[in-house]
Formats: sequence, structure tokens, C-alpha cells
Amino acid sequence: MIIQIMSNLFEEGYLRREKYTLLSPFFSNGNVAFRREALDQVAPYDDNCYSGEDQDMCFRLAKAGWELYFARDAVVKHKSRTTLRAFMRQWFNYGFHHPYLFKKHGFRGLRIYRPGNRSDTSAIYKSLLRAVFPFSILIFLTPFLGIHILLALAIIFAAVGLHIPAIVCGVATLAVALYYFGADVDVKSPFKTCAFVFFRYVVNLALLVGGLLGGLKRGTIYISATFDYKG
Amino acid sequence: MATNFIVSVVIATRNRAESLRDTLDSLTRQSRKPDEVVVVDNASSDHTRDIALNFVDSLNLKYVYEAKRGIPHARNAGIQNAGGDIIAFIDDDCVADENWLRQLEIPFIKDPHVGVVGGEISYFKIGDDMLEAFYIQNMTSGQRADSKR
Repeated sequence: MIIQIMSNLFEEGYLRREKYTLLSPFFSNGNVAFRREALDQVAPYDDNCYSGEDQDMCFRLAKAGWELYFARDAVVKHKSRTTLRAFMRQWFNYGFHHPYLFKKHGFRGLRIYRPGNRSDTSAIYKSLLRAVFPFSILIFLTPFLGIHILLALAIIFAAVGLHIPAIVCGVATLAVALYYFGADVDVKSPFKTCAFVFFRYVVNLALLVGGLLGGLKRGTIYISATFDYKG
Repeated sequence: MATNFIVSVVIATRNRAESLRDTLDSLTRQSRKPDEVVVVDNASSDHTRDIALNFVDSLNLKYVYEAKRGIPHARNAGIQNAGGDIIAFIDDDCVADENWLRQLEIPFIKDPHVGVVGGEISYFKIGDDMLEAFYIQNMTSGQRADSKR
């Protein structure tokens, strides 16, 4: 079980464990309530969680058998002041502190996740590689990662003179990029399109780099999900 | 709604006195009044204390000073000082809708197995720059308008 990086919940109701077999959902601490009895069982908050203490708490409560319930009509409004720098730093930090939670909750071995996949198909690699690797590897196969891998391949193929594979990879890079950034395209406003694509790119890059560095600090290879990842 | 629960609201804050005033104001307007509000001042250097103390009577507010900086410390201090059966958290840069606490309490009343209830976080639009538009579109946790992604 991996703890989700963003609390993106949409449906009113219980966060049933059978529905979230892969990514453990959580509530942000900006709008959450606990039953005293439940809190007393698992409190206090972990002092080592400089970020993600809300994820940690929800995970521990779910593990202790408590139900988590998302109440859509309990609305809190957040002031949206932000700068690009603050936005990037926020996601860098989320990425950086995330591996601590994996380590804390006993994650080891190799796990590969892809969007839309809700069953744990990587159990077999996990058990195989747990014996082989002294460290853990966690990879989210996201379109964002795909863009970079394909682009790198295209450049390598071009550099060694393999033109056909280079072109294929180049076209694939564009296709995945279009798929991923497609939601930001606004034909009426090229400026808005460029701005949104730019924001999505740099914030994801901050998250990815934060995750890589935080992972190395914890002895994990961690390729983070993107911030818009829906598990 | 008549319930037997005592509900505490905990706010951990640092150096956001003016924003905290808005948060506390929103708590005074709740359809289900909090039985107690605990403000944990996490080593602020501004007038956070004065703002909080203004609400002592209207919100049955308890002011707690936590010198050790950091979110987990502040939240733990809040839990220790809260006397409720239900402990709700709201941030100092947020404002609660009128029915916030009532809606948050209902699942606890309905089902004794519910240990945690989370609510929706939406965003105020302050300016009109591209970054803010992007932020609001992407960062809303339980968005009412369906997101493409």
C-alpha cells in the first residue's frame, strides 16, 4: 500500500479499502475531523513528518480499522495566494518527504504503478527483488515520465545515427506530450495554453526532483507520480 | 441538530494574525457552533495572540503557545488541549462555510466506525493571473465541476 501524494477525492462517502487497493487516500489537515477515541489510539502526530503528517495519520487510522469518510458538503475555502516559486517549493517538499512515509510503513522491494491500475500487479517483482536488492524502488509510470524517456531515446538514437527509431521516438514523445498536456490546450487563448503547460511542467519537475532527492536520502529510488495523478 | 458530542476545533497558526481573524470570524457564524476552539500559536512574532484573545468569549477559545516550531508539534499541542469527543482541524489561511462543522459531524453521528471525516477544500479567487487560475483548477481536492484529468 502506497500513500497517495495528493488528496484528490470527488465522491461523497466511505473511502473503502477495496476501492483503494493501491493508493491509500487521505484528508488534508486543512479540513478534517477525528473521533477522539480513534485519535487516542494512534496519536501523537509523527514529529519526523515535516510534511505528510496528515497522510501518515489517516494511514495509521485506516490500518487500525477506522473508517474514513469524505463529506463533500463540509466546505472550507482556502485563500489561493501563491507564487510560482512557492508552488514549486510546496511540491518539491511533498516529493522530498514522501519517501519517509514509505520507509516508515515498511515498503521494500520494487513497485511499479501506472495510472488507472488499481490492482497490485507488481507483487511478483516485489517478492523477487526484495531478495536481490538491498534497497527499494518505487516508480510511477506516468505520461510525464514517458515524455522524458521517449525524448531521451530519440536523442540517443539520433546521436548514434539510427534515424528511423529516432523519428519514431520523436513522434511518440509528441503524442504522449499532447495526451498529457491536452487538457491545458485552449484554442481561444494560446497564451493561457502556454502558461498552463509551463506551470504543469515545472511543478511536476519540482515534484520529481524532490522525490528523487528525498528518496536517495532514505535509500529509495523514487520516481514520483505527477501532482495531478489520480490513482 | 441535537447531539451528545462535544466538538473542538483546533487551529495551528504562525504569523498570520489577520488571516486567522477571518478563520475565527467564520467559526462564529457556524450553524453548528463549536463547543470549544483551541488556537495553537506556533511561535508567532506578530499579534496572533491579541487576535485570538478577542474571540475568547464568543468562541470559548483557548489560546495555547507552542514554542517548538513545526506542524506535528503544533497539532499535538492542539490535541492535548482539546477536550472534545470530535476534534476538527482547520488551517489559518482558510475560511469555513456556514455549515462546515455540522456537515463534518454528521458521519460521526451516523456511524460509530467512522474515525475520520474529511471535507472539501475549495479556493477563493483573489487576483486574476494565470498562475492563480491554474492553481484553482488543479489544486481543488473535491471539485464540484468535473475535472478532465
